[in-house]
Amino acid sequence: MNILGISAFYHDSAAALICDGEIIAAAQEERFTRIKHDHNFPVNAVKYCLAEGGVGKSDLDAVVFYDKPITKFARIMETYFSVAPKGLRSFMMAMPIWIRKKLWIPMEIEKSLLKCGIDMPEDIYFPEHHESHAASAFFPSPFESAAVLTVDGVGEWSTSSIGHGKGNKLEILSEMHFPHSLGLLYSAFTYFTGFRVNSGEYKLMGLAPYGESIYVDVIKDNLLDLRDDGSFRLNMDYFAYLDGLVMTNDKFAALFDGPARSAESEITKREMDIAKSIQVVTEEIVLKMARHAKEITGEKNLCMAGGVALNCVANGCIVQEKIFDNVWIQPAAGDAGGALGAALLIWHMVKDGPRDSDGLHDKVSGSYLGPDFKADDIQEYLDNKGYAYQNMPADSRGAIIAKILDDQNVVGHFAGRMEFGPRALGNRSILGDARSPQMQSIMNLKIKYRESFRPFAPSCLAEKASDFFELDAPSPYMLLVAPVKKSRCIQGQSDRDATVLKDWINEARSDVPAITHVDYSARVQTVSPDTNRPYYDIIKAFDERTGFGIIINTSFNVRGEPIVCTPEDAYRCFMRTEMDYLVLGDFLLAKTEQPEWKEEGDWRGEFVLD
Amino acid sequence: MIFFKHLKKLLQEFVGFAWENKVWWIVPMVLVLLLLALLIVTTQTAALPFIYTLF
Repeated sequence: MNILGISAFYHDSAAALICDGEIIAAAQEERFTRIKHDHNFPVNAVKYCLAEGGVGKSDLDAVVFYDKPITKFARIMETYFSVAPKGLRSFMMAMPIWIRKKLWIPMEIEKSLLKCGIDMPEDIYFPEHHESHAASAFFPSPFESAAVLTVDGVGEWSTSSIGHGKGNKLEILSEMHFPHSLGLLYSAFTYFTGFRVNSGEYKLMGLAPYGESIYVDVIKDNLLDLRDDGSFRLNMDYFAYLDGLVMTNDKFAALFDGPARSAESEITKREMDIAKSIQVVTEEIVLKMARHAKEITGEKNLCMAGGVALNCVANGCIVQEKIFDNVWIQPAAGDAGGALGAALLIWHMVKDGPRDSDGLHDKVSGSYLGPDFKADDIQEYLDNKGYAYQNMPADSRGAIIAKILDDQNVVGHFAGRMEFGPRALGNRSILGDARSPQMQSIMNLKIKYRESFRPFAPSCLAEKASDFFELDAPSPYMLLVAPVKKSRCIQGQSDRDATVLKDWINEARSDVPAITHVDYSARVQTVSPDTNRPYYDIIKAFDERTGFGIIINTSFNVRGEPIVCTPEDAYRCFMRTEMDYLVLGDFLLAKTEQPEWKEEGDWRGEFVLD
Repeated sequence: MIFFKHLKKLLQEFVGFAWENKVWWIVPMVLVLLLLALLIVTTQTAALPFIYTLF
């Protein structure tokens, strides 16, 4: 039985295909259209998934959309009625897209399938938004049974949920409803600190360690009424997202000593302190929710999804508090993952498809669920374009790349299937030497073209993770933050009196400074040979050369650009930046040997900065 | 043809939603909106800012 899952019209549109319960393919539309967070109907992703699964004209059995548009529409209408006559402008802007697109999702699906030469199946489903998230967290997890926690901005009405999964069944036990939302609260602060809502949240999280939590009491005393079970009510007197075109109002600004920071202006100590404070509050809320989930389910395992589950610092707190024995977080925790969850939900809950679990291995194949490119196709592309390359023998590929990294070069690594979700996990990654004190600055400014305060993440051999970090759980999807081992840290840095960000950036805080954040933490990816052998071999070879089984892994893109999808995307990004080498499968390209790269105009204008 | 097939389904869904949730106010609201929408769609082309209530 072939089931196609779709998420669209909000942000990060995506498609996923499952065949008889097995996850065959999943991809985000942005990777194909090259529009970051593309929210349009995922025609290209649908086409890719159906092709990957070899789905024939009459072979599609069901289509699932990841939420209930009619219920969401009713929520929006009720919200407008509750604040009218305010919010008229917002209403006038919202209606066209609803009338033109969002109310016509079945028609969009049918048209899209027709373009792919596929018949529209009889069965079309619309599970609830948080059901889809919960399904994406539990069904592919390694656990027979688990508590399930989903937290995001908003779906239909629900903004977070606690569920209980067992076997092939999943039940939602409690929910928190709009407008009271942890995701929206965090987004409000993202907006206020001058970053882009639904895109810049991870920047706010990265900024937090530079600040002090001086606004925690201000937030808790004025903005929310937090209960022991982690639920809360927001004081809407301070927020403008019900009736305005911004997230916060003047009253909110008065609480935080001035107006919202304008985008791209200098980041001051105030923004750092605000970032730290909301991060502390977020962690407290998430921990309370997790404890409550433990209480009402009695489970020893936890599964998580929803945009807030991408807050890897909060996730790290849950693991370190040892509330649960095991934690599994859906790597595509945001709305893209809803497409996968929706398809799995129908397979297990409606079609009663069986589910097995061994307690160890998940079902998402390292999240390598996207397009792959055969060696012949890559070689044909390189030959046609006249690009210089060398062919690396498979048995020495890892050693060759490790030497290049050891020689302080930056390498674009493109191999195997593309990752599903926001993280590059080795197959569409830029790699560097984590031991280098200058590498963070070099990669930020010359490769990624972004603010230099943001730390890079390490990929570490799974068996060596405890040599580098205070971490006793696997983190294959780069969704946990852990402290760097004290024995590796250089103490006495991070002068809290300093207020200029750039003064802090290049301080070496450990013997792996490029991945050690200002608070001596790192966002860890543990790499094991059973999920990605070629990538593991690179780090293993680097370990054999240097004694450090750890490298920098950052997504293969520049600021504002979606992660590369095709060899062509990779080559373009390679030539536009100051990367030294590009690996395309088993082919190695040196920048110095490439023909001159010519482009009209400034390519940076192509991407909207996040 | 596809449009009319889906228009019929959409109206059925709204009625079904109203029946199930006892929110009858939504039926006339949707009809008025559909008319209003014609006006808005033909006049509004501005890019949308990111605000959750819009979505």
